[in-house]
Order: sequence, then structure tokens, then C-alpha cells
Amino acid sequence: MMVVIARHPIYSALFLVLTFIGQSIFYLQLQAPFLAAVQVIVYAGAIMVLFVFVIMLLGEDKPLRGERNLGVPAVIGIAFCVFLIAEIGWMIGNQGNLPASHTVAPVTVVSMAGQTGETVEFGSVKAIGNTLFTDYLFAFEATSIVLLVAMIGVVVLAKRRL
Amino acid sequence: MPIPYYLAISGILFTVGVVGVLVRRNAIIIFMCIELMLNAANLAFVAAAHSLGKMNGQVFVFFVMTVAAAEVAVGLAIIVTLFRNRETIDVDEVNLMKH
Repeated sequence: MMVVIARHPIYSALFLVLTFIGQSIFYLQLQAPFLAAVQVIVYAGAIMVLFVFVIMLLGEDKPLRGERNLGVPAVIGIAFCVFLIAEIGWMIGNQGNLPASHTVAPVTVVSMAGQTGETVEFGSVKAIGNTLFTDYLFAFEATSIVLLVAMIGVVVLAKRRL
Repeated sequence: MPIPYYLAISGILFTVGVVGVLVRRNAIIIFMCIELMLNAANLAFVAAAHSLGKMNGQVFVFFVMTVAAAEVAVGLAIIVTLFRNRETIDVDEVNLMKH
């Protein structure tokens, strides 16, 4: 919440780092150690360095005049808040009806060569890699194209003239 | 901790992100709030993956992270270009494609 409240962007960025690290702890609790590591490295590391770099580069010494526009947007935001809080309350109230969250046993993942299924620990790098490179191979390649296009776009944008 | 609590935290994070995008004027902070919303979705994905015992959710989070990284790079490049041209990053003043 401090990301929104803080006046200066740099404080927002620091609170966002705190949020990301807390979220990686949630990932660890949910048996996703690889994603927790990626969260810390990519988000708290790379992306936030990018943000802080740009904030410093633009040198926003003083906060923008009249920073928060409290008009119709704030009303919409508060309405959304109320809606979501009601929904969350309904969800927690109903959780007796939901199936109890079970502790996940090691999941059997059929390896790429189609051998006998080997037991892989849930959330490990191996399990993620198996799923990523068998079921989601096309999406993986598409992601690489997206990264390439983004890289070219950034170079074109950042260069003043070609 | 049962799964609905994770979903609740995810919902709260998403709401904070939405309010930030709507209320703030600084383009950089708006970008940070978008990151917050993406992370809320990621948390919901991981919670669902844990609940169902399948890896697909975690793989999807991996893709979301990749796309978010690309998006941040492009967005920040746009902001830098904008600041170079306009000397401001207030989104209310940047309401024309050209000036």
C-alpha cells in the first residue's frame, strides 16, 4: 500500500521491493522454490534496478504538483475496493465448503523421452523444466520472440536518431 | 495457511495496484502499480497450482514474469523518451500524441 501512498517515486520503488520479497516468501510456502528464486532475482533484482535507474535519471527532485488526483478515479478505486473486500469476505466465509487444501505429494512427471514416469519433487527446477519444454514448447519460443522484439524496440526508442 | 487466504492477499494486492493506477499521476509509479497487479495474478496462479498439484500454473507464472520484464523495459524506454521530449512525466499533461 505504501507503493501508492509514498510521495516520492524512490520510496515507492523501495516498498515495491519489500512487496516482491514478501511475495517470494509466499512462493516458498506454496512449494515453489524455483519461482521464489526467480522472483527475487528478476523482480527484486533486475526490474527494480531498472526502475530506480530511470527514477534517478529523470531526477524528479520535487514531487509533482497536485500529485494525487482525487476525483472520479478515486471514487472508482474505492468502489473497486469495496467490491473486492466483499468478495474476499464471501470467499473466506465459504471456505468450509471448499475442498481442504491438501499437502501435495511428489508429482509424477513423465519425462520427455516417454520413459517410465519418474518422481520429481513438486515445484523443483526439474519439474518446471519438464513441463516447460514438453507441453509449453511453442509458448516458450513465442516468449523468446517477445523478448527479442522488446529488445529491438527499446534500442530504437532509446536511440535519439538512427 | 489455506488457499483462500493466498487468494485474498492476491486480491488485496491487485486492488492496491488498481487504485494506484487510477489515482497517481506519475508515470513511473503507474508502471510500478502495473507490476503489482501482475504479481497479484502470479500469486493466485501459484496458489492454484499448489492447490491442484499441477505444474502448469507455475510455468504460466514463468511466462508472465518474462512478459513483464519485456513490458517494463519497453515502458521505461517510452518514459525516458517522453521525458526527453516534454520535460515531464505527469500523465495528465501528456494527453496528446504530438505537441
